[in-house]
Amino acid sequence: MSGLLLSNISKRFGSVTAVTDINLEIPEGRFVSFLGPSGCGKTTLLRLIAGLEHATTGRIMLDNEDLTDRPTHNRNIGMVFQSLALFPHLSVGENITYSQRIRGVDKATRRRRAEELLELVRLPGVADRNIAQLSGGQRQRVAIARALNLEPKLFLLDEPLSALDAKLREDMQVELRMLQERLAITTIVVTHDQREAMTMSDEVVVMSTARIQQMGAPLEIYRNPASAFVAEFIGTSNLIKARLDTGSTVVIAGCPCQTSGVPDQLGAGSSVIVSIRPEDVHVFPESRDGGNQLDGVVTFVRDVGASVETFVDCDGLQIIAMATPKERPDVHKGEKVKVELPAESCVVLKA
Amino acid sequence: MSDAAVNRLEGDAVGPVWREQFLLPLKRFPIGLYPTFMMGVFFLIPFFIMLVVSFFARTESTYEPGFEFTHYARFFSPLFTTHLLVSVQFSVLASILSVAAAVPFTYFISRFRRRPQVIALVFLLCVLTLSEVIVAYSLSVVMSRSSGLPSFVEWLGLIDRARSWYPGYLANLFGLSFFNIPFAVLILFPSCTRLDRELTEAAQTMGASPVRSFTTIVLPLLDRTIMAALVLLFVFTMGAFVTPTWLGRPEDTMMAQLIANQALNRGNIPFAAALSMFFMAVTIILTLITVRLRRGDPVRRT
Repeated sequence: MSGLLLSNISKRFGSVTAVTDINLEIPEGRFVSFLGPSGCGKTTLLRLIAGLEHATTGRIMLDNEDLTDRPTHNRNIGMVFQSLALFPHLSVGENITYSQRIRGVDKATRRRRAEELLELVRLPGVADRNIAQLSGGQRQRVAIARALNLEPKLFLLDEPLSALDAKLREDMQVELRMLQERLAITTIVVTHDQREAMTMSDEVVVMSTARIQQMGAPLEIYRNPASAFVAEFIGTSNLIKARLDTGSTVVIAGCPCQTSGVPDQLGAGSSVIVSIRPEDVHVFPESRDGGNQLDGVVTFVRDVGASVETFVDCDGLQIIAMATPKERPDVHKGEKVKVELPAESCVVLKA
Repeated sequence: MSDAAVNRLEGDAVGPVWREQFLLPLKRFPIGLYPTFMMGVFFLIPFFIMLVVSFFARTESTYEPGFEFTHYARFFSPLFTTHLLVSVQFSVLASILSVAAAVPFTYFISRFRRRPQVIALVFLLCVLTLSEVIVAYSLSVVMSRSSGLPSFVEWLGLIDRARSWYPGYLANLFGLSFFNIPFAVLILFPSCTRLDRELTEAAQTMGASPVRSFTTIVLPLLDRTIMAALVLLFVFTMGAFVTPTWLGRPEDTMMAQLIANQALNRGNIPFAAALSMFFMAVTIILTLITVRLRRGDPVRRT
């Protein structure tokens, strides 16, 4: 297989397990995000791929070559660090072409290459500047240009956009994705920002407590979270306690509801969690045809213009419904309402 | 030496600098008067006494007040110029050698975790508590024919007949450098720990071996600290007395020994004082030249 293959990787620092039991296949040219809360092991996994840490167990293969014991400087990777790690004693151009200086490329060629790469990251004409003279966004671009200089087989980025302000970060996400599509280079980004992961990636690897929780296309993970953790971490979810009835029916607050399906290993009577996205929940004043409707009382309405969130208390369970202003339900605080949980949006998870 | 201090010595903006560096801090922290007072009593007063004595006339047994340049004129005899050059040579080489040994070592321990780092530094400080006399004497034992390395090398069969390695040029140079290393490490350590680990990691992802990343990233980033260590150890070695007495040959005699000889053995206090003045002037001038050269460098900084 051409691409990156991690098999059975684990890494321990003393008694601390940073990552464990990692099996992952990333086909060539894919853009993958490692997403998870801080301390979940995502940066360690990236550093293992870069060779900056050595795996306790497991193998790392790239294009059918075993990289596991190869030192970093022989791996042909490009990496953007969280701190960017630009060399303060070198100019922008010298930073970008450092890898060629190491390989003994002459000055004139290096200079041309620096101009080319600065053109690529849309930052022309700054080759002679000091790093200190650049803004945060410009440094970001220099770091990206530097990592891409030798057309590496793997492009690794560790929280690359975390130092930028919100607006610039959103722009850079789109730009980074377009650059990656143009160069068709296998790319891994570590991030804790689910929006960033969903904007850029073909595939998202959700991690927590040193393990991979789920991996798949962003929307697939969003629609079908594999666990309560993933449902919470990717976007917002209503996580509703329920009891499993026969078939794919669950009982929520005493009311039987159909769901999209039930994990195999669960039997009737076991307690489960039903995950449903707020935008899939409908609220209306009186009952309509169809099932999956709960009785509730509106406790709060949050109207922020672009969206309206209705908080409903259903027999002690809080359910949040989100709608666009056009679909705004005609309900008010303190009113009795019906809450519909469409069967196809209800994902049943182990409690 | 700080830039402000250099400015002051060169005389630009003397007034405001003097005010800011001394008067204002003293007003705010009157306790600063204490070190100022002690410096005055134990450094400046002896210094001026020595300066005055250096112009005195020598008599049979002692000296009497006068104003003559005879002692200063004597420096230019080959004996003293030769030994001044010997001193400069040993000091330059010993500072370079000790810093060259200390830089990789310090960088290496700065990459350790906290605990081994502390152990290494405590060990180093223990070495510092030994006086120059003990260090020089131990080294002479190590280099002696009967009980030291020479007989070990003979036993290994690398040489036919062992002989003592001291006194000798290399023995003296080794002793001076060895004594300097802990100081060099202590000067370099703070800068080394401040170096961002990700910089060398970035260099390695770009294809630089660990050695290459050390020479192309770490050394250039440490250049100012290295220079500071070199200057300080140069000045430090210029005053060496015990080590060259113990480990050096007669032709390796350094200035401090000559001065001591004039003052203690020959009782020529005015000449010893004049030599000290001259010696101090040479050291200050060489240091200023180095600092000056450094400032001219077009080094980029963040």
